[in-house]
Amino acid sequence: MARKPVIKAVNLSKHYQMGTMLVKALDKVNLEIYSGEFIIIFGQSGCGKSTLMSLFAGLDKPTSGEVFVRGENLAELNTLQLSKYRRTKIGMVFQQYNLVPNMTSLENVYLPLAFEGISRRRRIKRARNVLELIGIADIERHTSSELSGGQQQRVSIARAWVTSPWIVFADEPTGNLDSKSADEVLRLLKQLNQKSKRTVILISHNPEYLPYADRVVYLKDGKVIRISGKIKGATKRRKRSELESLQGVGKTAAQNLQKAGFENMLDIASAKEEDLAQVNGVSKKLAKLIRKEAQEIIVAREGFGEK
Amino acid sequence: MTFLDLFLFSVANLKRNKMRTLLTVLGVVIGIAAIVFLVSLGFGLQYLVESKVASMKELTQIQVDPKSDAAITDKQIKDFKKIKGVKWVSPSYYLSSQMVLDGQKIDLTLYALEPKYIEAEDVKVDKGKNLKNPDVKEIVVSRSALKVFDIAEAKNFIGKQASLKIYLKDKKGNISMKLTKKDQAQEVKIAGVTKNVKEPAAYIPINNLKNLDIKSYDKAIVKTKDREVVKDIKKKISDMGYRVSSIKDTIQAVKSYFNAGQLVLGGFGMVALFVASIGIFNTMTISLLERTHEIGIMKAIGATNKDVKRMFIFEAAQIGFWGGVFGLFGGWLMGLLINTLVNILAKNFGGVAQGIFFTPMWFSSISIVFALLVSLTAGIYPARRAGKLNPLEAIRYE
Repeated sequence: MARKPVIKAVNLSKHYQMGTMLVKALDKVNLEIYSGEFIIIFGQSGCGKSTLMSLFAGLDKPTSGEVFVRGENLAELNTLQLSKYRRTKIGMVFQQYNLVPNMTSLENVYLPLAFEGISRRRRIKRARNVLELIGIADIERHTSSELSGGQQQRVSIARAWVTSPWIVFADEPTGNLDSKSADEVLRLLKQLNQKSKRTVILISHNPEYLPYADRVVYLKDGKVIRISGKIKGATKRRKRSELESLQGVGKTAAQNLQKAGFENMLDIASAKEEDLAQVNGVSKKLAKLIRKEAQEIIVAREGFGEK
Repeated sequence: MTFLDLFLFSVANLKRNKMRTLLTVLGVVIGIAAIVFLVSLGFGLQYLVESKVASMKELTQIQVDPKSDAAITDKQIKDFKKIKGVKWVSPSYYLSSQMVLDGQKIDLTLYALEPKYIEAEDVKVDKGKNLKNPDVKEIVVSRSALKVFDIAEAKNFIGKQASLKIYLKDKKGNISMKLTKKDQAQEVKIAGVTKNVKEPAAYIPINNLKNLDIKSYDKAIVKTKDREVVKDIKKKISDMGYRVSSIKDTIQAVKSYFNAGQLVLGGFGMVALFVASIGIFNTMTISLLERTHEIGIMKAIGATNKDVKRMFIFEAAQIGFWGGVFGLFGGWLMGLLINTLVNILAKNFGGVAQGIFFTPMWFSSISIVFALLVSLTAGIYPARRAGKLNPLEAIRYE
């Protein structure tokens, strides 16, 4: 059975009139991206990759063609529905971080939840969880002027993650960072993608990052010229791969866990540490770690309801 | 977004540029303070005048005067008494008379009335006693009559016997000097002296003049049970063909003068508030420009147009609210200060301390609501602009 794409572009074009010249920023782009994929849209500046992201995020309207998100045509959404779409279905990470300057990290992270109308208590808890997941719980009281670029970008990733979106768009997230921070940010995105199975669409002009991607979409002069890589997970059994995504759990350990009756994340999260440690290939220390990780993943998924 | 969020966000945003916020609020404070100060002066003076015009009990009285085709007779008095809401009716008539005391003669107006209703005539006796018993031959004399007798001390006057000659009008309306009827000349005792009557006058219980055979009264005072029914009863009596008036009319007239005055005074304050509203508009517009990029971010991460709009409106509302509160307080304080100064001056020149400023509760509330409305009006356009910003353009704006 063919999988349904999470986001799909059909003959997507965006043209601008620049004086007397017609600029084709995007020209008849067709693209299907599936749930859980780590996609890099690769191309030189001016190739139309940012335009593509604006169209995917519903921030701009295409000249022609359509964008479908889980089968829903973005062109059919009104302003209010588009806001809701951006608030709950997608997360955005920008090159310039784009944190609200006078707010603390915590406030920035819970901002999308505030717009959603989530109670203060719940959204603070949820934002703290995500900050902890990303490993920056210590800077929750800092405003962006007190943070390094790398830290700001992590806060911005936390903000994109907080609503448990289907898709996270990252537009040159490492463009303003030194190579060390850039690597950290990229690893974080990859890690989050693997842990929570959220689709990540990264826009970059840097060929060094291409190995991170499941698939790479090569864009040139507004056209998709090549798509490399395989659509992953189409044939794999989901449960096993899910357990394998836990830190320190190999293929064998995952199989052993399944045999012992711990079939998915929820089972791990709700099991006792001692019981997990009974499983072959799972030490006491590992049991503790994977249980905690599974709990975080469950919170990340269900703190907001799986969408 | 919840109201708490909007409140907290607006506080945080207003704090970002404290000086600007403070100056904008100050503009509203000055506007509202000016309005409160001036209008309170208007109210203060109005109440001062009203209290001089009428005591509370007079507000429930209606004066009925006859017309050429509607005389007030005993029968009419009974009819008046039957009207619902009427407490009592006091008829009276005016006569010309001559009083002789210690060989001196003076002319004065004699008011014949029921002693128990003497309060209705606003006769305030400050020396001696007021009329009490309807059948005793006593009179109360006005102080100006004393002056004619050249008696300085009122107490020397009280208790003296005087003789009174009452002149009636003939059929043509001319005063006849002949005393033809019983009671037209009588001996009376002076019971008291009134302070507040300016003309030479005397008051006598109406029973003493029963024999004069007067057909109709010159006036009747209708006392009502409460203030609310005055209007209805006035209309009923008026429909019966009489001329009616009450102190309420006078107060109404005074009120309308003062209302006009207050409008003018409030108008001056409005000018200040109008300038303040331009300040709010300016502040919100600058804030909008400064925060365009930020609004773009918020919209990109899912804020609706309404969220953004409401954030701005809340800021404008806060400026208005605090401006209103402090303006009210400032205006009130200024009034208190001026009043105290005036009273110190008045006392030094031998006057009486008076409250010339008064801020009614309802006006206080209205001034705050008004400040809110003005700031909302000034803030609505920048707020709508903020709400309608295109997220993509806004986020690129630096």
